[in-house]
Amino acid sequence: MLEKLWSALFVVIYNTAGDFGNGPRQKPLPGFHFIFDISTLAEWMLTARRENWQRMRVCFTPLRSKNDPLEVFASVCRLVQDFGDCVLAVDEVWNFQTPSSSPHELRESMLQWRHYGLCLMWTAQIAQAVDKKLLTVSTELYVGRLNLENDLEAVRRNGGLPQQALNEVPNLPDWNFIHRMENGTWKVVKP
Amino acid sequence: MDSQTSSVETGKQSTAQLQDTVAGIHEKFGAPPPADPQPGQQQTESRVDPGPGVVEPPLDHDFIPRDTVRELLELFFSSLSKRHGSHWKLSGDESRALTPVTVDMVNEQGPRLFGESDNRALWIFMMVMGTFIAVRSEAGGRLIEWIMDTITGANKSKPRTDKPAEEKKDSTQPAGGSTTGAGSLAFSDSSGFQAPGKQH
Repeated sequence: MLEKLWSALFVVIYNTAGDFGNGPRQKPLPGFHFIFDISTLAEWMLTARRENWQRMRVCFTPLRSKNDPLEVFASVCRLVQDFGDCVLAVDEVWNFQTPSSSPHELRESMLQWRHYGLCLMWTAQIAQAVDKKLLTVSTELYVGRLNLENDLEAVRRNGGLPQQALNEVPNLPDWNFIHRMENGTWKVVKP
Repeated sequence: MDSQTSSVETGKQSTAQLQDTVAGIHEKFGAPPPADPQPGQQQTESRVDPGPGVVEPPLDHDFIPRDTVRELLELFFSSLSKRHGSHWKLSGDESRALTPVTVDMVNEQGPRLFGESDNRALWIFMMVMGTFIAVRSEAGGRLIEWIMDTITGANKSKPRTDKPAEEKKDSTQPAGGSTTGAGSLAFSDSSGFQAPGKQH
């Protein structure tokens, strides 16, 4: 995901699992501003829009608080929609979905992205927990090694992965991915 | 003209919409806490005056701080001025003009090369120190001179009577040229799928 993000000028990363940061066992994100509070994020994005910044890269880590995590997530979706023309990258998106439903705000970002000028990127280690609509409408997929039958089934049914590519998935080495492109062709991506 | 006007109006409208959303968020989740540095957040530093009318993003959006980039640029040209004449030295206005494009280049290429390297700080340190040492040392200076001559085409006109091999032998520190080896990128631990959304 990060490799795809470097060239984007307006990015909001939803750091669900806290993977990114400057602490031990976290991935650094040079050039990104780290925010931990939804109100600060809102203020930050408003300032960026008002002052017409030429670049805004934010990593938002919603630390545990009294706020409902789903409400916080929905508010971030609204913010990026109103901000417009930016990338929303959601880590472990299944935290905000069931296999058959997504919050209204995320659904809008998934389906009406062109209206808002959004590019939605997402990651999930549990493919079976991802809303099948999101898998279906995604233009490109990168599938790492999966072993559970239900995960493979979710990718097969909703991810549009050809059987030949699917056969490779359980045996992929670390950091290798099947890249299914928009036109349906696929290739193995190595680091 | 009409399209310009409508685009300005759309911009105002979208800012107003964003403002409403932000107000709603403040109402629901409370006002933002005071701007204490959070864990992982960079401290505020002073910066070079960008000049009148220039709006710059906050400091921590830069891969290498602007001040450092500017000082490196000035150092580099100052070193050249000792060999090629004082007209190589950058004036304040020139270095201010060159800094933004250099910072943009570093912002674009820096993360690609070093962003996900475990040894990012080491590579950057080696590159910066290498440059500092190179512009001070005789051999490094001649190497830089040779590179600049090659770029500007001055080398073509004169026969190669100088001794690049000897220079290399003298040089104890390459000018950071090998640092691109750090460019091996790795994906995040949270591997999985990544894709932009698609329109029905």
